Amino acid sequence: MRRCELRGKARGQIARIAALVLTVGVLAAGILVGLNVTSVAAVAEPDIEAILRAIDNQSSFGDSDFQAVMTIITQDPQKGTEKFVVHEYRRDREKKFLLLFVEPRAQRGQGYLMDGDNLWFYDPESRKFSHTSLKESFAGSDARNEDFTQSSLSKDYRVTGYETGVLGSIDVYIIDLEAVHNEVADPYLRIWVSQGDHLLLKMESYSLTKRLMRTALFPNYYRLGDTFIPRTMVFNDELVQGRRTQIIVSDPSISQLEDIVFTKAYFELVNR
Amino acid sequence: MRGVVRIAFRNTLRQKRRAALLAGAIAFGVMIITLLNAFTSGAVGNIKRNLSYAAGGHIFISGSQLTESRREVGRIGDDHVLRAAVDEKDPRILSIHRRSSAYGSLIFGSRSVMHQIQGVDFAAETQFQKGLQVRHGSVEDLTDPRLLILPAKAAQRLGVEVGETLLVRLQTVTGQENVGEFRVIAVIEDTGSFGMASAYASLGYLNSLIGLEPSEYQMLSVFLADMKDIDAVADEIYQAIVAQGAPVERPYAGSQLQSYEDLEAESADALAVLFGQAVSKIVEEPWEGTKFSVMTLNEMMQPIVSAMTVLDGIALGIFVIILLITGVGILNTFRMVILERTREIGTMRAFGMQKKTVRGIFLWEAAIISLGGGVIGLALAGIIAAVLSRMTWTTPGLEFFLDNGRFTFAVTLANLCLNLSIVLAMSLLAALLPANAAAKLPPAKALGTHY
Repeated sequence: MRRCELRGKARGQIARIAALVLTVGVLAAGILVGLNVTSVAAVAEPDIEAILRAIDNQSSFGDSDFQAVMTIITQDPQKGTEKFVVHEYRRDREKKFLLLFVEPRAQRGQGYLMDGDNLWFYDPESRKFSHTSLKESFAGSDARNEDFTQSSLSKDYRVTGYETGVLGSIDVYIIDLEAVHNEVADPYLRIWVSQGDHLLLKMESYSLTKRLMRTALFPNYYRLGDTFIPRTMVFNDELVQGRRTQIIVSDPSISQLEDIVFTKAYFELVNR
Repeated sequence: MRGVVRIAFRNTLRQKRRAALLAGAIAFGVMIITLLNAFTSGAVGNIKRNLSYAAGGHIFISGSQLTESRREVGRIGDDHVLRAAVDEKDPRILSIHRRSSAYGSLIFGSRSVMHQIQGVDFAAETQFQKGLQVRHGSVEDLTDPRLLILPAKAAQRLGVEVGETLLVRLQTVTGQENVGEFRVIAVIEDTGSFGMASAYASLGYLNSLIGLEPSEYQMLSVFLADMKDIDAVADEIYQAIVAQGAPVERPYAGSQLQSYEDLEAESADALAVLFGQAVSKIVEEPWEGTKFSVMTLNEMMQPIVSAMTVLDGIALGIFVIILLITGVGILNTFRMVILERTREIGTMRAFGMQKKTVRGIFLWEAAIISLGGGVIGLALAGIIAAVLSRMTWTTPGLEFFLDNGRFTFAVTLANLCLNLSIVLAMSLLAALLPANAAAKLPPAKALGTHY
């Protein structure tokens, strides 16, 4: 074989080896990049179920009691503006709460008592308790009785989809939920949850026919230990134009309450 | 006898002013008691009739099943038990309705009004349209599944017209929120001016909104030809269901044994179920399948009837007090009469009149005054009732007691006879003492007495 031929063959082999190395390198790089992307993606994927559990846990007072004053302002195109002042008492570990009207005078002494699975409404005029439901409207407003209990989104709903977004200037997860049973009032929800501290900022309630019924806004919170309670709640009725309810929570406290507060006898006591 | 009555009548006319005053007092008492009795009877009848229109029947058989969490929901799925228990060919039964109902918020723009909606199977209830008084629109074509027939008051409050679409927010049988869209095809007059008239929609569409299957319903209501048959027919239906082994109750029968508070609470629950509001109690004693509950209009009316009975009792008490006062007046008056007529009594006795005849004359005088007063009282009550029943009342809250805006006064012969008997008895009792005294006057002494 001539020297030039040998040189040519060597060049060819070197080229083939180089090509092979290059191909392997590119493949390896591609695989590495792909793995990195996947791992980055795996890290960024939020655990929505965990977020729902965090919302529930953050709304529960655990072993502490809770009390606060709520000022409820309803705006209705037909009835005008009404103001209620209600004292709220909660004992989440026993699934009990009590709501007592102090204003207006006409409703002073009325209230709601939840004891386990039963919710009662008390009328001081007749001195009678009547059974009602968490799903019912609170005092004819756009808030519901269940809005004053601890959240149970992770128990009552399953996630059907989510996306990221922005609410005002806050990065949020926008999560679609479907009720897993018929014990809750809203069959479908869409919620906006802050990405950082998993606070529920906005909630849209949809009917069984997927019609938007109510929008709830929770722009700010109190922090009491590990628990977050909305400072302000705004409920907009999406069916009746111009109807909304605003609830302002003040004087929150987690000091221990007497057991009698969560009994029917308490209503009799305060109405004497 | 005839002579005694004639003498008594002539004697009564001799003292016209005195007799008129006594008869007038008696007439006043009889007028009051007759008006009150007639009012309460008429009101009870009106309430019953109005409630039957609003509720859609005289006998109501509802069915309920349990959810997994032991909450009771109104639902009748397989109704073979009811079909066997209710004989549609019974001549006492005018019509049968299978319906669902919901109590929701009708929404039109910025206005909303809470209202009951009854789901009607228009294909089965072919005579349904005939019972409606249409003010606007038409009920000829009932094929639109989303149609709504709206009472006039609700339409006025919403500002909605025929052809327009409104939303209804309601709850399913399990309490979940739902919203439906309806098109108003007709506005009807409020039946019975009761203010509790229903809106009507297609049973299938309403069922889909409240979470029932198209073939299911919540209540079978029976309209009878005569309300007097209510209890008898209800008993037969109940026994027929029992005979088939299905769970059934008559929770409001025998209610006279319960306390008023229990009755009030149970009637409130009964009315809530009847008008489509969910009762969300957890059931203490669960059951399998469908449990039926038979309820009648009479049972629902029990607290109202009790209240009216109390009113009747108060009226009777007032009547007796008036009569007692009048009785004292009669007693004193007859004492004076005997003093004035002592010589006359002596003369009659001297001519051979027996003591019992003398006594009889005075008792007949008392009877004539009391019966005369009683008849005048009845006549006055009749005139006032006739005037009041021709007037139309639009005061809010009174619709409950009215028949198309007017009072009804229902007089029974038994009440009239009872009242007149009481008046007569009281007058005779009051006049007895003086009459006896007159009868016992020695003739010689009476003849020598100067007044």
